[in-house]
Amino acid sequence: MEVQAQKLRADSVYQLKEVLIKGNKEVTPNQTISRNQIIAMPSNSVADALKYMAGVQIKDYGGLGGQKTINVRSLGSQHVGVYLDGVRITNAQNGTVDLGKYSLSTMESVSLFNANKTEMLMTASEYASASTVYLKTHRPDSTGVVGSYSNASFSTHKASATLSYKNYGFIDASFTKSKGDYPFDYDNEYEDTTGIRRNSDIMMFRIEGCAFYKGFQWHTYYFNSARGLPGGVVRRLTDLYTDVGREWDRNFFSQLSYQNQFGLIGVRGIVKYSNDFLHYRSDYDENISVHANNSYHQQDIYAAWAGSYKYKEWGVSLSTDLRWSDLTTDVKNFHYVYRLDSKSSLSAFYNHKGWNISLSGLYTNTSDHTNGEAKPLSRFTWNTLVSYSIGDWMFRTFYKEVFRTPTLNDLYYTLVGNRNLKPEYTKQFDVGVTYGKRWLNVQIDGYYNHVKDRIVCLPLKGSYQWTMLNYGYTRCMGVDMTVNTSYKNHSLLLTGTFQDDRNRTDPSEDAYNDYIAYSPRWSFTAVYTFFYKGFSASLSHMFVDKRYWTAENGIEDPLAAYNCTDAKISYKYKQIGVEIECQDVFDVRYEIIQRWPMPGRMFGLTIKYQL
Amino acid sequence: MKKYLYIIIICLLFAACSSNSEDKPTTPENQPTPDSTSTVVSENLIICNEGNWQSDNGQLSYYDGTTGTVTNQWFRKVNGLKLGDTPNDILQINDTLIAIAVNWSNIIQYIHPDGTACGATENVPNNRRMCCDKKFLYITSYAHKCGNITFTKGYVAKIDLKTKQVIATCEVGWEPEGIRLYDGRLYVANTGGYSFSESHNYETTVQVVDATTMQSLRQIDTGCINLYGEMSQAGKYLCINSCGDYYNVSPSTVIINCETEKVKVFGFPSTYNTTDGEKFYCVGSAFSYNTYKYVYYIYTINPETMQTTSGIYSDDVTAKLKELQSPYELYVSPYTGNIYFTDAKSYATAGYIYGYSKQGKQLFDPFKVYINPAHILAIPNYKQ
Repeated sequence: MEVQAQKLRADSVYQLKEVLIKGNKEVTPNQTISRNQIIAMPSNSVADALKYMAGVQIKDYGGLGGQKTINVRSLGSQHVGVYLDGVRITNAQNGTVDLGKYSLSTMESVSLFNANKTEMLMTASEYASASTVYLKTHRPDSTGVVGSYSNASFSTHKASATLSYKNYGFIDASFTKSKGDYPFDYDNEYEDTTGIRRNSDIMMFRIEGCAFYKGFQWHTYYFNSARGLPGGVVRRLTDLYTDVGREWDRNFFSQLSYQNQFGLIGVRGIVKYSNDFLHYRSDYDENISVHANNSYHQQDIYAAWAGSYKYKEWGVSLSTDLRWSDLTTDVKNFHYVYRLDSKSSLSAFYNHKGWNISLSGLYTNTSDHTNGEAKPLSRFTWNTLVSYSIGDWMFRTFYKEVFRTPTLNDLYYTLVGNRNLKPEYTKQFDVGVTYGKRWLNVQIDGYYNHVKDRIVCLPLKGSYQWTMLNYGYTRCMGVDMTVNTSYKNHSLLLTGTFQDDRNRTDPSEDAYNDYIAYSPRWSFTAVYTFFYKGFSASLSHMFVDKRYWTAENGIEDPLAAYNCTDAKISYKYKQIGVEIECQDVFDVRYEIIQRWPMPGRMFGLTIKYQL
Repeated sequence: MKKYLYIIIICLLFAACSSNSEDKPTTPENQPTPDSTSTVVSENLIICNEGNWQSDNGQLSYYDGTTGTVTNQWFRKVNGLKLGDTPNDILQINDTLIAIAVNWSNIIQYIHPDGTACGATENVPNNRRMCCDKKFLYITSYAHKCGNITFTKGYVAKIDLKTKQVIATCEVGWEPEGIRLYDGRLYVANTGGYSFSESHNYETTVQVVDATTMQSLRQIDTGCINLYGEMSQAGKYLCINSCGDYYNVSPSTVIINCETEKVKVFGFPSTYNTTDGEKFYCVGSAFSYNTYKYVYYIYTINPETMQTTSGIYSDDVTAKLKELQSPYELYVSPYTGNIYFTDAKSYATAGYIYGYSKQGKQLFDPFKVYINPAHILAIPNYKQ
C-alpha cells in the first residue's frame, strides 16, 4: 500500500478533483504499488507487480508467452475483476484476463482491493467481482519522446517508444520477440530430466494511447501476438516429439470516460468497444495429436453511467451499466451467441467523526441469445463495510456476497458446455486493522470466504463424455499482512499471506477437507527500492510454501516450496538511461503449475534514450 | 479455447477402459493360455491407473494375492523412474513379458510380471490399444506418422517382440481404438473420435486386416457410430461399445461373429465390458444432453444365443456395481473367473478396486489405488 506521503502535483486540477470526489479515505483493505516502485522493479507485465501483494497467487504457465492469471484469497481467477481506469477488462468467452498482455510501463499504479472500493461514483460493474484489481494509467506531465531497446535471456529483444505531450496524453508502443527454448530441470530420486522448453517462443506487439482533457479520458489499445504452446513436460525417451500447438491473439479496445463534480453532485459516464480475436492451431503434419484449427472472435460494447450526491455526512451513489458481448467461432456445432448483461447498483455512505459505513446493493440481469440458450439470470447481491478511525488506527470489517455468471464456454462450448449451469457464488467476511503514519503503514486482515457451486469439468458417469458441472464447495480462511515503510531514499514493502483453503464439497469423499490444489499455506514477499538522484535499485524476494497439485493431497508429493529473488539497477544520466535486471538471481527451478517449469535465471539489459 | 479443446481431447483419449488380456485361447496364435495341468492357487493383480492428462502421473498399482498387500506407485518403486503420461492399455504377451501403451508419452513400456522394466520404445506415437500373438504385438494409433511413413487416417503397427521394432504398418480408419485377433485376422474398431475438431465424421466400421501381410482386407459396417471403448473377445465373438453422440444417437453394443462377420446390435451401452471366454459382462450408462439424465445398464450377453440377462454374476455383485460412484473398469480373470471392478470416484481422487469370486463371495476389502484405475491384469500363482 502506498505510503501516505505521496507528493501531490499541485498544478494538476485533475488531481484536486479526484480528492474531492473521494471524500472519504479509502477504507476497504487495499494494496497499491505505485509508479516509483514499478519503474524500479524488473517486470515484463502487470503480473510482476501483482505477485508481491498479500493474498495474491499468480498462476504462471512459464516463459514470456505462458498465460498469467491472478487469483485472490483462493476465490478463483474468474472472480477477480481487472479494471483499467475503472473499466473492466472482460472476456465473455472464458472469464479470465491474461495479465501478460498489459505492460507496467504505462501504469501510474496497480492496486488490489478486496471486495471492492468504497468510493462514490463507482459503476455497477465495479461491484460485480469478489476482488478487484485496478490498473491506473499514468498521466504524463511533460512533452518528450523516449525510446528504448532491451536484450534479455533466451534471445529476447524488445524495442519500445513513448511519446508524451504535456499533460494531455501519450502514445506508447513496444515490440517484443523471444525465442524461448529455455532450459528446465527435474532432478529428484526418480527423475533426472534436463531439457529445452521447445515451442515456447513469442512475438508480441502493443500500441496504446491515452488522452486526458479536463474530466475526459480516452484510452485506445491494440495488442497482437503469436506464440507457441509447449504443453506439460511428460516422460519422453528422446526429443523426437514436441507438442506442436500455436496461438495468435489480436486484442483491441477503445474506451472513453468522463467524470466531473458539480457541487454536491457527481457524474460519470463510460463507453467502450472491444474486439478480440484468438486463433488456435495444431493442424500440422507432424502433430501426432488432434488436428485443430479454430478461430474465436468476440466483440464487446459497454456503456455505463453513474451519479452521486453528497450531503454532509451522507452520500448516495447510483449506477447502471449495460454490456453486449458476442462470440463467433468456427468450432463445429458451436453456434453464434450474444449476451446482454445489465447491472444496476445503489450505494449509501455515511461518514461521521471516525465512522465510515457503506452499504451497496447490486442487481444483475444476464440473458444469452443462441441455439439452445440458457435461461436468463437475475440476481440481487449486496455488500457492506464498516470502519472506525481513531488517530493513526483504523478498524474495519466487511461482508460481501457476489457471484460469477457461467462464461459462454461453460455454457455453450461444443460437447462440454452445459446450459443448465448455475452461477458460482462467493461470500466473504473480513476483519482488519490499519496503522498508518507518514513513514510506516501496517495493514492486517483476517478473512473467511467460501465458494459454492464451483464450475468444473468432469466426466459423465459411465461414459467417455466430459461436461461442465456445478460441483464443489470450498472454504478459505486466512490472514493478509502488509507493511510499507519509507525513509528518505529507501522504501520497503513486506507482505505475509496465510491461507487455509479446503475442499468442503462432499463429506463422503476422500478429498474432503484436503487443501485445494495450488493454494499455498504461506507466502512472504519483500520489495526494497532505493532512489538517489539518477540512480535507482530494487531487490525483491518471494517465498511460496509447498502446494499440493492433486485434489486428494495424500496420493502425491506436493510441489516444493520455492524462493525467488529479483534485482534491478538503473542509472540515468542526462538523456541516457541504462537498466540491468536479473530475475530469479539464484536460478531456483520451480513450477507454479505441475509439469510447466519456470525459466530459471534471466538477465536483461535495457538502454533508454530521451529526446 | 485451448483449455476446452484439451478437455474434449481428454474425453476421447483417456477416460476409457479397455479390456486387456483376456483373449481366450481358441486359436494357436493367441497369447498365454491358463495352464490346464497346474492349479492356480491365487492371483496377483496389476492395476494400470491413467492419472490426469499432461500431469505425467500414470501409475501402476500391484496387489499381491498371496499376502493381500497393495503397493501403489509400483513401477516407480521397482524401477526408480516414472511410467509416463496417460497409460491407455496393458497387455500380457507371455509368461515373462507385459506391454503398456503409454499414450501421451508416445512410449510402449515393457515390463516383466515382477514389475522390472525391460525396454521402452518411442516408435508408435499416440498409441492406443494392443493385442498380440506369440511373435508380434499389434498396436493401434490415432497418429498420422510412424517413423518415416505418413498416413491420412489412423493405423495399426506390427511390432516384432524380439527386437521391439515396428516391422509393418497398415492404414485403417480415423482414430482406431480396440483391436483383437481371430484366425489370423485383426479386427480394428474405428471411432472417428477427433471428428469434434477435424473435418471427418464419426466412423461406424470395424476394419479387418490380415495379420501376416498387414494388408487391409475389408471393412465391416456396424451401423453404429463412435466405436470407442471396451472390446472383449470370447472365442469368435467380439463385443464392442458404441458411444453414440450424447444427443440424438443413443449408445449401443455391437456383437460381431468373426467367422460369419455378421453384426448384432443391442440398444444399450457396454461402456465397460469383459468376458470369461463364453459370455460378455457389460456395465454402462446412457446420457443425453436432451434430458440431462443417465440410464444405467448392467447386463450379461450370451453370444451363442444372443440372449441378454439383467445383472452380472450374482445379486451381490450386481448390487455392488450399481452402488459405484463412477465405474471405470470391469475385468474377469481368465485364470480363476474372479471378477474385479474399479470405482474412479470423482476422477480427481484415488479410485478403489473390488474383487468377487464367480460365486459372488467378496475376495478382499476394497483397496485404494490411484486416479482413474482403468485396466486390470491378473498374473496367476501356480501351485509349486
